[in-house]
Amino acid sequence: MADNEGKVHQITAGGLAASHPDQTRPAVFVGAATANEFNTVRAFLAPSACFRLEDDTFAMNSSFISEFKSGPLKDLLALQPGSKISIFGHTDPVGQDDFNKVLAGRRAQSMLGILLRDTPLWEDLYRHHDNLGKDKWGVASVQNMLNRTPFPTGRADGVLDEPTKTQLKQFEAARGLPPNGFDSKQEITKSTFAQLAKEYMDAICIDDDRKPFSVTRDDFLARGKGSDGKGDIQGCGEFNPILLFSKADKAELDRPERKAERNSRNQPNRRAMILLFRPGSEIDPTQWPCPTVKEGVAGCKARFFSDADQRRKNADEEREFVKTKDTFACRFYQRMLESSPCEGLLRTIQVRLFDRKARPLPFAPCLVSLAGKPPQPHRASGVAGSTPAGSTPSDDETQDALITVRDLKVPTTLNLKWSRPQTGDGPNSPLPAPTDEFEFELEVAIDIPEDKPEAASLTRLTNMGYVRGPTRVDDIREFQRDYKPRFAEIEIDGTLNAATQKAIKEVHDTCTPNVKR
Amino acid sequence: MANHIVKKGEFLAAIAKQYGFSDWNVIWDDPQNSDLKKKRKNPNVLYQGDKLFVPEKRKKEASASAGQRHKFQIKAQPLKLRLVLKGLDDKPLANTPCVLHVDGGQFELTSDGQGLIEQKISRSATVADLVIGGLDSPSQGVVPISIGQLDPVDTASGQTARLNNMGYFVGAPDADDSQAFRSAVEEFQCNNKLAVDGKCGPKTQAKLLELHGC
Repeated sequence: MADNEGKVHQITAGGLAASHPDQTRPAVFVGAATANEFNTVRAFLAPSACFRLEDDTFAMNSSFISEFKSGPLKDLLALQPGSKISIFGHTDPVGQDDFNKVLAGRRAQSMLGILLRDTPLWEDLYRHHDNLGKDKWGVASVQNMLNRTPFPTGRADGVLDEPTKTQLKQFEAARGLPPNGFDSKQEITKSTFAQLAKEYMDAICIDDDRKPFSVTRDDFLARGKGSDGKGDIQGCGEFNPILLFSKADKAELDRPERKAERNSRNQPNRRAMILLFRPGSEIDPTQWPCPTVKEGVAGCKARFFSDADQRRKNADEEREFVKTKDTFACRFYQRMLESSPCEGLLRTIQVRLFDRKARPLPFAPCLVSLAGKPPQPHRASGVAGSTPAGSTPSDDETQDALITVRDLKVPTTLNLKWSRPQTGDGPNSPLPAPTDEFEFELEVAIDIPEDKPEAASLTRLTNMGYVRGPTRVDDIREFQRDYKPRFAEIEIDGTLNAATQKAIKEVHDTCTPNVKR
Repeated sequence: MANHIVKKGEFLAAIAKQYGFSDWNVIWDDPQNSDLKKKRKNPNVLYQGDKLFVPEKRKKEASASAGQRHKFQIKAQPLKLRLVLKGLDDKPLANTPCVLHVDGGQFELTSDGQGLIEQKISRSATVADLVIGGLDSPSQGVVPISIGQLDPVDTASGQTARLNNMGYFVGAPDADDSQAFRSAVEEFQCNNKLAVDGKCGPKTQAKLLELHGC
């Protein structure tokens, strides 16, 4: 049972699952009656849990789903079997209200489709673009889907080349489908799409045991009775962001050269929220305040706070929903998410893994433990197929080898266990088990206080593996020897002189150590 | 006779009993209470601080022949708890079995086609609870009830209570959350085609009164 603060259950690469605080009804105050007076007592709508999917669920600016690890949703449904769900899509505040509502709605529809395994819902998105023509599924979506079948195309760049055509033909042949391939609009036929989408959905919409996960219309709040999914899916567009830049930041980030950074900073706003309601809950779609995913924004605006304009404006300070509670324009949405743990900003922590020679370790199996949480297995990132055949992954110094961890606050440290990857390890290699033996272990300092520069430098040296001593002076000297070629100003004297400290910070914070030959 | 200052949770039927009146109309119809009667209209929804004049108990003179049996009926006004139950979809929870606990007893009731349940209660009943359907029903299982705590609709506490009852969850009655209150008022106004301004003015109050039932 949730306590009165709500409780976060899981934070995974794809999303955040939590229970809402208990909404027990306070006493109903009534007047006694001597004639025809009465007191109306009506059930109120309060979600019992939430599952938020992050932006990387979807391809950029698209409603096509790249990942859908639905284990946390399955677990939440198991906590209260018979819970009913409704999906809310959100975008960031860049661009027009109308376009953003459309995109958010398309994303919600995409999620409905995959959860129900309803391929016609996906076909609708595939064949009909949004009003501005930006969310085009096109050839890239077919390539992405083929990549999860035994007929991969490799690159999913949207270019209709011969390998793509061939692989589709092979797929159609293998599945006994008419060999129609791509038409003059570069689209595939209905029957091929249905089969391909179904296989793709089963491949990516999986639970923690990697088994396909799906639900039925009956699991939704409006039971599928609303037209265009009314009550089950809605697009809030940009109306309910959880992060609003300060005025100054917005002016800076609106400049064309800062576009990539703005996209990155806005990422938390681009999310999809699945709300769970008490078992047996059902709403009447005709009474539901949210417009459908096909309708415009008027219905949304009818539900805005009367001071919505003020809320939507960028203020002098940056605002986060959990802190100021005033970033949402829609009161209906606010009333449901007011005390939800699911609208907190996730901090992203990235750790880049190297071996003793400072060679990156792509696909390295690891175990990450944050304070008070069970250990999570990971594999470091990497680009498959870009290392020469026969060499181990660590021979390629350009590999990312990143572990990405997310939490609602930045931890002081995290405990990391890892091993070197084996030859042949790649993105589909299985995750390690918490009981495996690992070669290396380190308490990685994440939140490094800068008020004591010398202590901060020593902490960074530890993170970078300069711990073999016998004393810290020896560690410092070793670093200085390794990096003097790169930072000429460093004096090799075993002290934390200014040039050394500067070098330590730069190498550590940019994750660019020199490989030792 | 007395000038009774109404305390929180008091209502006329209970006050009448306190002073030994079986018929509260005698108090309510007294000319000294005509202003209060005009203001409050519903004698069982009063506000703390209201001044109620309690007249002398008049002895009713009745002539009776000796030796015969005469029946004297006390005009007692039955007090009832009347609730209209509605689901999430604002439709009445019709023909739904419920269990009401009040006055130390347990009453099995079934709501009618309009979602109404009613039960006679004593004038000293102050708390009750209602179990709607089964305990795992989506209509929030057990509803705790406070009889007499409902304030008039022209008071903030009265508005909060009615909004809470009708599912526009404002929060605990003593939690002073002006944003939640305003948001609930706006939602209510929006749902009932009133001007949406977040202020519970006369039109909004009238609608609240009408839809809540008292």
